[in-house]
Amino acid sequence: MCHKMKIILGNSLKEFLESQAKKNPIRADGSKFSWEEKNVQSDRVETGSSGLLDAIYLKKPAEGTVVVERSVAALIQERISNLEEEITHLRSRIRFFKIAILIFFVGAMMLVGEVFILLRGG
Amino acid sequence: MGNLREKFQGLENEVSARFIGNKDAIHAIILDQLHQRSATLIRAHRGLGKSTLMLLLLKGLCGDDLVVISGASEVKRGEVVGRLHIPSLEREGVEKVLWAAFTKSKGKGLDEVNRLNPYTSANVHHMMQFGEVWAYGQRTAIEDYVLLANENPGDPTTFMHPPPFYDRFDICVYLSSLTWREKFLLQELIEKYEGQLVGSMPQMLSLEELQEARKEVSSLRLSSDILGQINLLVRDFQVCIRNREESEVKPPALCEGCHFIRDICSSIKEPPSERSTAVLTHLAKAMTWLDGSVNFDSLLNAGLWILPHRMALVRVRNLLQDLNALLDREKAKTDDREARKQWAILNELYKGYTPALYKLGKEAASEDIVFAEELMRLEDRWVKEGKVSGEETISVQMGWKLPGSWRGERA
Repeated sequence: MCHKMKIILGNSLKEFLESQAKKNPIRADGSKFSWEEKNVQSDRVETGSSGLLDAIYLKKPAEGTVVVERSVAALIQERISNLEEEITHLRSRIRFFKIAILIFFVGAMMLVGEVFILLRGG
Repeated sequence: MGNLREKFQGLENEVSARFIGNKDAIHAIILDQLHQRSATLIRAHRGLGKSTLMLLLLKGLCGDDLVVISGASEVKRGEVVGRLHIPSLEREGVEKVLWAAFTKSKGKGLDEVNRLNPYTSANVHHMMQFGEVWAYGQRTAIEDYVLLANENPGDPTTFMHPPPFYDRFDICVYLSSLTWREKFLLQELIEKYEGQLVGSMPQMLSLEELQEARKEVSSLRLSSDILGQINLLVRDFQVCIRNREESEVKPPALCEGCHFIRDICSSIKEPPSERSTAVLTHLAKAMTWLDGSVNFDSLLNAGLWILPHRMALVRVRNLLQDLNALLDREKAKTDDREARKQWAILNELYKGYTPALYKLGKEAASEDIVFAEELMRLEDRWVKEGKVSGEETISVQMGWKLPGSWRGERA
């Protein structure tokens, strides 16, 4: 099982990641992280948009105030528009099936009526 | 090295002096000659000079050591590889194969490749793949060569060639018709060379020099940044979180309700093969050698040469314009990745599991499938090591699965 857990990284990939990390060095301080070049302390782990994602995907209760990053807001907006598109699509299907059921029902009623007339010998 | 580079630049100048317009296409073809067993496909409608350009380049590289097969005549013949030596068979009962000139020549031209018969195209396909040809149970190895082919995509083809055949061509360049200004230049050019455009083309470098240049280019080392960009560019055109490659349902039906429906992947029906990575790497090396540098923009430009014959789009109005639009999106995607600093996050995550960085990683993964793939592999490991619970992983939360993995009760 152990060999399956190992992830082999090529040397070029290691170099690529290291060079990207040099461009954007991360400074860790406990559970807080900051990007060195900006010198801006980021405690998004505590108050960032990840709290909202957890509330949506993990159903964890959201805190009093939720701060949403622009990218996450865009993501949620996109998901909502996708879902709305799907709802419209499903609604049109439902309308189609309703009409079909109505036609079948009317047809069935007419058939029953015909049978009654025949039984009465009309 | 300088001398060889000057000779290659001289070749480009001589070809450009005899072929008006389409400078990008000429440069692309020149770059593609800088690796072993190069195979280039030129696509253009009739009368735009695809055969002339093919011959100019073959003459410039191989002189008279070239053989051109015409798709139209091969419909009847089919003797590209070799034929039996009848006297040996009759007198000695020995099957001796006379290998055709096409197999021996350094310069190989395929005119109207979409009209080659299946027998010929199968032989050419095998030659491009394995560097050998077979006839009557005998094989012969094919040494390094220059192969240029052309076809008119608007022609009703005699036979449909399979996608793997086209995949063997490193690049595919399209020629466009001449502008009003360029038509004047063409008239003057025909007068200047008295109609002998191809006949007047000199051989610009010997075959030994060509091979030496190819070796020099092959020995170059690209920076990790360029290699990373090459791999990302190709992966973005291949990846599908619903495993398009193995799926019987293809986009757009496959993409219904997908989280990444607005991404590049949803526009691609059949992804490019892994060969595109190798070819793009060759081209990047060739650009470094011939042009002096390579950057992300030149890689995106090369995307227009390596992708059109290797993939199928969901909706095609104008293949090159559609590809251009996808490459624009790729550029925007790269800028987004930079802004998210996701590779620095991934670098830290590969070193070890950190809950806070993992959360940032999950955010990045929800916007980038390529990153998501890498994170999901890490998640698998962390779940097995007991660092993360199955329900916490982005793969479970989003319902994504890596191809070939069984998740059991965690799914």
